[in-house]
Amino acid sequence: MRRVPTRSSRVVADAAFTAVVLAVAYALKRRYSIAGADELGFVLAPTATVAGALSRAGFVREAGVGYVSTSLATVIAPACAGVNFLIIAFSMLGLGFVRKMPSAASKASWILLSGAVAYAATILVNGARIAAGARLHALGASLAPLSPGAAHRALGTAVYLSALWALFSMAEATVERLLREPERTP
Amino acid sequence: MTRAKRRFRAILWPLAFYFAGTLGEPILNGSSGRREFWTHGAAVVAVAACCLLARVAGWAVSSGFRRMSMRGG
Repeated sequence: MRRVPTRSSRVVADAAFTAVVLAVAYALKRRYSIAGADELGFVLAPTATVAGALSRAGFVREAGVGYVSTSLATVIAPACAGVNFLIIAFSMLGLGFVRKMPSAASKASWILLSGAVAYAATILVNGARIAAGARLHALGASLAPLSPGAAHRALGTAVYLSALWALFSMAEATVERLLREPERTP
Repeated sequence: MTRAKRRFRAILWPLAFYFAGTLGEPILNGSSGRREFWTHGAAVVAVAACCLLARVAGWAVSSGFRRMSMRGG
C-alpha cells in the first residue's frame, strides 16, 4: 500500500529541500566568486568551445587568465564564467518547482536535474552571449548613445533574463507533464 | 492556477531571481556604497524593463491572434 504523505510531513520535506537548494547556491557562491581561471575550468572550457563555435573564432587556454581569442580581441576571464547565472538558474528552478514534487525522491531528483539543466544552460547561454558580444565588438558596433561597455552590459542583461524566462517556461511545461502522467496510468 | 496567474508567475519569478542575484547579493555584500554599483544597477533595471515590455507586448499580440482565430476572423 502506498503511503500518502501528511500535510505536516510535506511541509517539513519542502522546508528541508528548500534549505538544500539555498545551501548549494550559497556554497557555489562562496567557492567560485573568488576562484581563478584554473578552478573555473569546468565552465570556462565548454563556454570557450561554444563561444568559439558560434563566433567561428578559436579560443586558446592561457593558464591563470582564461581563454583568449586574438582574432576577436576577447578574453573569457573568470568574471565572465557565468557562475552567477548558474547559481541564479539553479535556485530559480530548484526553489520554483521542488514543492510541486509529490515525494522526497522526486524532490531530490528535481534538485539534481535543476543543477544539470542550470549547468547546461549556463554553458550555452554564456557562450552565445560572449560570441554575440565579441562579434559586436569586432564589428565596431556601438548602440549609440551607449558606450561599448554599456552595450556589452545591456546585451548580457537581455540575454540572461530572456534565458531565465525561457528556462522557467520549459521547466513549468515539463513539471506539468510529469505530474499529469501518473494520473493517466491505470 | 489560472492562465493569467501562471503568466504573472512565469514573468516575476525569474525576474525576482535575476534581481536578487545581480542587485540583491552585491547589496548584501556591501556594494551599495559604491557609485559604479548604482550605475550598473540602473542599467540592469532599465534593460530588464525593456525586456519585460517586449515580453508583455509579445504575449498581448499572441493572445490577440488566438482570440481572432477562435472567432474565425
